[in-house]
Amino acid sequence: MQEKLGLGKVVGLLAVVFAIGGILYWIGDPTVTNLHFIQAVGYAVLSNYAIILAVGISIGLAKENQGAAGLAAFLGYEVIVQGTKSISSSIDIGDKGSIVLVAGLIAGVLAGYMYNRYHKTKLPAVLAFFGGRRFVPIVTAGACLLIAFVLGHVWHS
Amino acid sequence: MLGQLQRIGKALMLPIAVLPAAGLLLRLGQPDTLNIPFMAAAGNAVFNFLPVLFAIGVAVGFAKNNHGFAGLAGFLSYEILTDGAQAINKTINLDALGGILAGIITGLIFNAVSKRRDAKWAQFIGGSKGLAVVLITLVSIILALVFGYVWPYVQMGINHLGGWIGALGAVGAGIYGLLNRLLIPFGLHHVVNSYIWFVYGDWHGKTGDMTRFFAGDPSAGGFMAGMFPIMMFGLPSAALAMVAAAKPERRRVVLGIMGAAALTSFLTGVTEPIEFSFMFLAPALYGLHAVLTGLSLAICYALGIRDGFNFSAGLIDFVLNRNHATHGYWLIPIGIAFGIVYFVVFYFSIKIFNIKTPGREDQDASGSVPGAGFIFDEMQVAADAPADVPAATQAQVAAATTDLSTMAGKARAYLDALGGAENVVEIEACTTRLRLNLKDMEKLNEPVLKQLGSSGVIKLNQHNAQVVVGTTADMLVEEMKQFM
Repeated sequence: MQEKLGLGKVVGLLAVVFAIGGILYWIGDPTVTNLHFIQAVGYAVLSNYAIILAVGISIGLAKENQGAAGLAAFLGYEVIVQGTKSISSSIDIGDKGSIVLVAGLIAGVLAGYMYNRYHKTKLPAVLAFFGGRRFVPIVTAGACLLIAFVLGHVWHS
Repeated sequence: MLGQLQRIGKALMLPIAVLPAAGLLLRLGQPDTLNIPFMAAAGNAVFNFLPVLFAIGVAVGFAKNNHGFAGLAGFLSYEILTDGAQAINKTINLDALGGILAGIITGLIFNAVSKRRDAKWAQFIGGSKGLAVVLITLVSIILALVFGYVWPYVQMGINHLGGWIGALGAVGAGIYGLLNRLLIPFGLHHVVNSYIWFVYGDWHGKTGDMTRFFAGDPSAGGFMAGMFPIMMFGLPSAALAMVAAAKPERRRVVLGIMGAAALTSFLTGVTEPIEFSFMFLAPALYGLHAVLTGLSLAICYALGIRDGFNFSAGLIDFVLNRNHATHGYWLIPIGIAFGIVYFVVFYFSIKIFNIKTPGREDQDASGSVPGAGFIFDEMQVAADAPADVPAATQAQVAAATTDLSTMAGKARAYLDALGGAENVVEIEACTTRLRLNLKDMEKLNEPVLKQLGSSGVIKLNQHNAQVVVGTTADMLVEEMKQFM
């Protein structure tokens, strides 16, 4: 068994992920094999770069690389992106938009931090189900809701 | 098989725990209630991306130590599967099914590959985890190809089925209700729903039961009305039956989770928290719930009740659409009747067949806590373990302690506390526990184990014991084997 993956090791693995996406995208290119399907698969990986970063950063930061942090990062990212979009429709949330990278970085760091801080949260018996690791996505999404509110009002793309 | 299903069920609890909050945000943010689009958008983010959350959640749940990297791979697998299939055919929508499939595949491959030590030749792609990503990518591409060519036929078949159901009147409504619930575990209910809600029937150019209902078609709403008794009364009563059937000492905790789930279902019509809490534990009971749902739809249709929702069949929609409905208030007495039926059926089935619904689980001997996993995080289960062990003396700990800052040192110390390598006949890790077969139980030093951070020792008999150590169980055992 390996010890915990630090951020450095995670970044290395993310590089592998992006390389796979890039290679597939290139293989499918009209000038190479012209397989639209393979190119679409490569693009599916590349166009989600911000989410991949968010999830990667969060598990790199979280104790024992726990998956709950990754789930929280994805959720936080979507809350920020969808929330800002609903406040200002001019914001581009496509893969070319400037907000997606910012949202990805914020959600990733926040989810990792929230995991380490809240994964042992004990809630009163009535809410016990929502405690422990399950509390992490909830509290991350809540924080991202506030961030979305602020970003939605100040961001202009 | 059932064990695997329960694992999926347990894995799904992580994303499901977010649903009640998201459901409220979404429902309250709608234009017809508080009209805060920003709040609705955030709630919607959860529901829209539920398939992705399932993919990540299931992958993590399956992966050893709940490793987060499996979650990342699960996300990739889902994107490749869905985007690939859509590149072949635009109409394909795999929804939750795609998410669950991607999660299972990822978890299985991830575990198979990480068992090995990092191979030298795989170093350039980041060792075994990089290798897992490459394999998961390839398998997902193959699956995308299969779904891309096969799925449109499945979807077409379902649409034909929908047309046939629609033409059958009350019986059709009953069949639709039954199918609607039976397909939820597979995430396919939306395929039937989207046909019935948005395609079936025609009224002044408007199609679909839901669309026509809101456009004012007096005959529409027959396929939605029967959902209100189930979601507002039936399922919440089932949740309360689970509370009543729980062990007395756990009842408060169960009331918490099931009460929240019942309220969510009653108010918003978001039923997953209740349904997922028993569907994998008691498939037969879930089947019965599907039959009752079909019955409710058939009865309401036959009585000429017409009512609808644009979100789901909870109180909020019921109140908002009261003026659109035909005989809408008849749904209340019918609902109360269904509530009583559900409570009786669930309470007695659980008692008679001893179904391990939340709060009825035993501290069992196999090392996994079947029902508790649904309610508690593993850590909380560990915290429930007996804690009345005398504190170890400093000397005992010092004797056992080498260097606890490294995993190897920790493993050494644990091994000593178990009576040394010669006392351990067999050892294996199971999520958060060490499962042991010891020569001599007397040599197991409980106070020292507690000092080392274990949160409970369960002695099963003369030779078998379990020590709860938390999520590092796997790594600890790997290291301990180095000293044996």
